[in-house]
Amino acid sequence: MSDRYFQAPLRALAATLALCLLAPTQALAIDGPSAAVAVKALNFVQPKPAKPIPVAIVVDAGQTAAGDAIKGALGADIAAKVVEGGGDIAGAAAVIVVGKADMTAKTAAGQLVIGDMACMEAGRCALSVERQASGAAKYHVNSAALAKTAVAFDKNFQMLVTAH
Amino acid sequence: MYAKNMLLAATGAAALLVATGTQAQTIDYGMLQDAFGQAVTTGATGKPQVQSDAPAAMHIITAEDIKASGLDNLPDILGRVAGVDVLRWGAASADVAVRGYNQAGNPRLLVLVNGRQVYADHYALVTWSAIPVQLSEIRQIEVVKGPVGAIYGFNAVAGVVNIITYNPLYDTAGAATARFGNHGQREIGLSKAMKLNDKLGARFSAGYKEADEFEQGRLSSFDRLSMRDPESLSASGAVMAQLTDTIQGGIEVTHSDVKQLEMMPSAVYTFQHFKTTSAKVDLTADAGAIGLVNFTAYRNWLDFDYSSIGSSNVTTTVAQLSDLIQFGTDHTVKLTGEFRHNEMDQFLSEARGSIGYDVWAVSGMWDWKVTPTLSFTNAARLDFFEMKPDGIGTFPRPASSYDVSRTKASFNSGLVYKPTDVDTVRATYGLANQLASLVELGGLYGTQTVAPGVRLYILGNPDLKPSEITSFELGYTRALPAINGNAGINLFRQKTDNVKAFLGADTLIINRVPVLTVVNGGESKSWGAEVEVEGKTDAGVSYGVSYTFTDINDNLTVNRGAAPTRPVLFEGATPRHKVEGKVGYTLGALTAQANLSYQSSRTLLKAPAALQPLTAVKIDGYWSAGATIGYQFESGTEIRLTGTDMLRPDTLTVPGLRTERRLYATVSQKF
Repeated sequence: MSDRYFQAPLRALAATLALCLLAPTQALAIDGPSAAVAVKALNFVQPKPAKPIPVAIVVDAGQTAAGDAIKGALGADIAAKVVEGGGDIAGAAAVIVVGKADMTAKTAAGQLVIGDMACMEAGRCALSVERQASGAAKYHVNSAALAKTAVAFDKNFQMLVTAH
Repeated sequence: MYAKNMLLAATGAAALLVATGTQAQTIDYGMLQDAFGQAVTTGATGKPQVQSDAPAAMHIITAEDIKASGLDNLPDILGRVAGVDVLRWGAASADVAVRGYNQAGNPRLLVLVNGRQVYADHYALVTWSAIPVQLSEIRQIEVVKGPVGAIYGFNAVAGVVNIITYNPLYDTAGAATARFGNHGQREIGLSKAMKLNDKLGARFSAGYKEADEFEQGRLSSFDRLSMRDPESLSASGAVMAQLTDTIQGGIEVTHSDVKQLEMMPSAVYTFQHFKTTSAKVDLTADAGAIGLVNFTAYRNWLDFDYSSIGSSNVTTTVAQLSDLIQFGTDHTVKLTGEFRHNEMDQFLSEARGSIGYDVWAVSGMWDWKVTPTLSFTNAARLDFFEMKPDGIGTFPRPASSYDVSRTKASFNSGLVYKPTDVDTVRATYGLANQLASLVELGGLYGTQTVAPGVRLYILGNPDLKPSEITSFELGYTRALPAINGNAGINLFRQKTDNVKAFLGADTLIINRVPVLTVVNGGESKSWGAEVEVEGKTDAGVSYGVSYTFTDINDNLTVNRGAAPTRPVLFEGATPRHKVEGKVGYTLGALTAQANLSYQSSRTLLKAPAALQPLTAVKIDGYWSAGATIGYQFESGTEIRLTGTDMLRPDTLTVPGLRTERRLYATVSQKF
């Protein structure tokens, strides 16, 4: 390794390392397309829920239209219903939080709580999706929130998510 | 026996380790790609990663890419990737290299099918037509560029080609294919992956192809003796099962039978008959907090017969036990133990006994997510090699010289920085070792009478040092949402120490006896660049262009005379410039693609007959073009017409047979 031949690439590598600055994660509100991507995570929940997978979309009072928009974006593998904050979410494999509702105390074990980045970062939601300009998706998981709801993902999927 | 013991041990270990309440999962590539919006791979580190996170220059060829190309063979499909070079020696025979250093019987590229090596240990080469896989059963081909020895071990020195088929536990896919064209091309193939129930899936495939051998070219009379038409037959079958809630298992068997003209490492043509058989077992267990435990064991059998050299057989047995485990949110570690044993009967005129070696290896990979935008991956592997000669001919070398053991270390390190969600910067370092082949170590043993009472011995060299390949690389990729595509550039610098120089006309004296043997022949350095951009429009037009630059400088200790005496030459042997362009169009059920490529001149060595002085043959730069058009009926039937090397009836691409223009039709039916 003392070979002078490699000095230039080593310098370049060091320069790259020096340039590696922290960039903030972009927060995105959950909408229909994001929710449609987010519920794909349910394919990796262990044990796998049977299809169609029941999902509750929780909206703030008077915001049912927003919930309906999300419901319309979900695929045929999802059986979704829209409920207002205090509504019944029993039996749902996942809960999508659209507004500011805090479902922490209301969700049962095994229910995956999906929301926007702020919800995930605050620990009120276990999972959030960041849709990237490239067309790729990044799944963010709040590990503490996930552990609290006793939801387990397939290990391969778990290694692909961004854990917080 | 080794494999059986390892299998029993691993099964017991898996049964003890498993936790309850979760289902063991092998990777569901299709579902993960759908979720993450980009291909998922384990090719760079052994850990599942989205392609843009992989700490290696990687190109993934999808099933859709294969179909859209219209091509009918793996080397031609790979040849369209930036940084990949193909030497086409005949209608069925080709060598594929990554980042230069291509040669007859290229030993620098490790090729795997679902993790099983299809690289043959006797000459350390890949016979592409003997790979028992149908194109219609391939989910993706991962091309990892650069040395990845710390992940894959010996011989993953230029890169790795990992062919992944559909998994019948997750995928349902099937096709029957018939293909016919000019130059006597005829082919039939069948593949099917299907779920039998929630816990059981099966996959099988079979195919047969034949064609007329190319006819034009500057062949010696020795080469002409080997001219016959190629044909190949292959079949494979696999069963995957969810054995318990926490354990998945799989069994796979394959067979292929190939007859074709082949360019040997000694730079002469021979007609080869290859018969390969393999059996593999996989177990994957979700061991809860202990991680994802995998055990894989397989055995490859190869019977080979080279018309001008001789015949023999090789068995290769590999057993691997690994654990992939995540610590906290930012650290993933993979620990692997591997055992490899191979054995080959010595061949040539004075052959006797067998030669082989054992390799015990341990490796570790640590992936650290330093920040949300920066990851740092390191991997190291130690290989303990011990040669196992058994009654082989060694004179004039003392038999004790074959009692060789070596310990070699390999390293890979990579930084991946993603400053925005469209930009990825990558810096990597790799050190890998290229082990000598069985033939080079001692698998050949023969004599020639060169004068009355004087015999020349032809034999291997147990002292041959593994070549050591060091690489530094910088890469940048940018997703381009405006064109629904991406662009990227890789810059690399590579050095090979202890280049292996195969047998030629170079006579050495060992213990006062003249011999022909393999030696280490100096060093070689290279640098290069790969630049590519691709995109597509909403109107159904897709396009892409790539440019590859490769510059190699040899500093060899052999071939210093007026005429080369060993078939080793890398400087000038790889085209300095290669350009690949494509335009595709989709209109409903109609798909079409046109390709245009250029590669600059190259110089390759050719011997008129085995063990003769060689000639450097300059191959002029050339353009080539191909096109394909297909129509998919609602019934699942597709009719496709494809043309390759269409600009002229035949083209000189190697110092041998000229590549002929081919036109063929393909009819396939999904089922």
